[in-house]
Amino acid sequence: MIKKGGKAGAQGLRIRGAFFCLLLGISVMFVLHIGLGKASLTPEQVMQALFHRRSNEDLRYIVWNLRLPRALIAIAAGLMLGTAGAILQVVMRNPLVEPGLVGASSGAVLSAVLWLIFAADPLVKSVPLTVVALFGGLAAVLLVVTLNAGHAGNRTRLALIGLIVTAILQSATSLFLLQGQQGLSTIFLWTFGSLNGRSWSSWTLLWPWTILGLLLSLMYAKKAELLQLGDATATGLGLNVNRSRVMLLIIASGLTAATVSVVGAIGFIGLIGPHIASLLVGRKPLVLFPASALLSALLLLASDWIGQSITLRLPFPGMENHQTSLPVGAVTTLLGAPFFLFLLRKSLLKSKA
Amino acid sequence: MQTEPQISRAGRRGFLVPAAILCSLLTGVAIFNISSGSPEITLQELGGILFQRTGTDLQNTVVWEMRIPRVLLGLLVGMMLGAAGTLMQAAMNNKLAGPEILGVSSGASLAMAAVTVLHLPVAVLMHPVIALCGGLLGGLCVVLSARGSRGAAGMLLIGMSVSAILNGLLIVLIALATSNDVNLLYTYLLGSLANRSWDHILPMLPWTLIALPVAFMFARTLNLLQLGDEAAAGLGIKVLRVRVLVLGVCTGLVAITVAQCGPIGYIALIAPHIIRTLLGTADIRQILPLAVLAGGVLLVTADTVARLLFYPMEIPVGVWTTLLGGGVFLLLFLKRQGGGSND
Repeated sequence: MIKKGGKAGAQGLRIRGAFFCLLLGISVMFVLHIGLGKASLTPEQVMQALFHRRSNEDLRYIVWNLRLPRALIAIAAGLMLGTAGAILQVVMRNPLVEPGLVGASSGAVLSAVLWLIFAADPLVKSVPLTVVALFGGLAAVLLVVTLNAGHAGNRTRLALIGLIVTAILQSATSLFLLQGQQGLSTIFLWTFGSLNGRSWSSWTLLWPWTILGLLLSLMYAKKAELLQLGDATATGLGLNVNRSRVMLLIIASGLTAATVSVVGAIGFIGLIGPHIASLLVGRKPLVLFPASALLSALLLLASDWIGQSITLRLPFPGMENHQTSLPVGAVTTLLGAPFFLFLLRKSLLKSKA
Repeated sequence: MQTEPQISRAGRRGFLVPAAILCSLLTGVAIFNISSGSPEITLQELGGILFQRTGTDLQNTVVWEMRIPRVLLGLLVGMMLGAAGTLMQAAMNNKLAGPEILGVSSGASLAMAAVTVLHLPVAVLMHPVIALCGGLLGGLCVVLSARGSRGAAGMLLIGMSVSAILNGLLIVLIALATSNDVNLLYTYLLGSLANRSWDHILPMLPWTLIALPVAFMFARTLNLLQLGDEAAAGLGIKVLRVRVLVLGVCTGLVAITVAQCGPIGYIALIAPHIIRTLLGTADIRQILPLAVLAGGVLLVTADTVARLLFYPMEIPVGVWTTLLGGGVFLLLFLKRQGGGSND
């Protein structure tokens, strides 16, 4: 790219710079995140425990068995949700969508919960939960898209339909969880998303999907770029528009489903990531998808860090001995919902003018 | 424009027939609700228990102390929600408005959750007031964020995203709560009529007796407001003041229900729609009383389902109303937007 000189070179440099900053940010946040907890560790201690095999055994145990999986899962989940959000925004040509707002998350959650409650035992073990969640999420997204058929240009309409469908699916989920006499922590996990108590076994479930999904999204980035030009142009350039669109939706639902079946429906992360990423690196999917993924990973890691430090550091009356930390979904909602509101107002005021 | 339609004879019949249907529905559902469950009570026994105080002690207690208060509470709450929904839709001139959409319900429940979790020293009788403040704040947030934007969909979306923020805060509170508060809080937040007694009904009565008549007083003004802001202003109505007042009354109606039963969604939204479709009129003076009744019927029916469908397990009624009401709401929205308007 640099060979093209001038503007393109500056652009390339900027993209590289952005990626470098994001990776640096993630590494710093990663160390901070691991250091945070009941036993607070300094960054040096964390680095020692991570890289020097000869550091203190207790520290190594805490870092490797308790904190590292949680941080890694946060990063993987962020990567996947960020990519899914970027794909959805590109495919639907709508800045107001993200996996949690078009039914992808809640559909996946509902199908996963139904599967866990009602499927026969041998079936549950032979089919991965992610696949089941994928079908649920995809069905919900397709439902939302179908209901909005004929109003593709109307951004707020799609968002509203998505929100209502999400509300319905969520209450159905609570219904089945309550009927199954599930404890509150399970309900929280599924409906808001939480990283509490995730361990290496969850990581094993998650990482193959992360790699597969991210690779697929990059492979389809070129087609997504053509889709951005508009249906007519894309068809003219020889793209099978409908097939690519459905493929991209499947990839996005798959990414969401894999995240959801491990950490639950974490909301609004896939909304902020793509927006800031497009400010940083532009709207070209080939760079937008990975940038949005990295940014969302950083955000999710940071949100979990915030959630944990709030419960660790703020003294609330009568809660001094309290153990739990905030579900990360609550923090992301508090960060993301105002952002959504801001985007919404911008979109509404623009459409009025 | 028919601003002050005289209720003609045909109109009166059109009003009385649905009213009679609703009343008989209500009676039927109430009797079914009171007699089903364990112990099962036959109609004859029920008659005896109600009018002659025959029947065993157990039956008397179950009917008078558990089932009747529950049905009554459901009726009252449903009525107030029905009234609130009608007023809100008329005042905002938006047929899809409702307390759950405009942040009122979530604001009120957030306030109640804060009281529970932080163990604030608030008397039980003051709970509705706290809920009222929360509801007003929630509604204010939505109205302020929505200013300048037009169109039904925009307003609803803003309301829903403000509700999402409030819900996020709610989760923070729940996560901070000690675990025995949490289970209580969670069932409360789904909206439930379980385990309520006369103690929950009595504090509601003064609110109902004040707020419902006030709601009826606004009916004529709201009829004019429905003509559009300019027309109403031309007829000498201070549009903004009326709107704020009406929304205040709505918030009051909703807040007391949230304080007693938690946020029960979509009753307020659906009840006026059913009545509007049944009557085929936009006259608030006719719609309001029937919508009040319909709200009661809907909630008592939903509660019967909640209590008996998975008996002895009980799913909070709020889950059912969101599940069914949400679907109906979606259909209504799609139908209204079907014309391809771009708002």
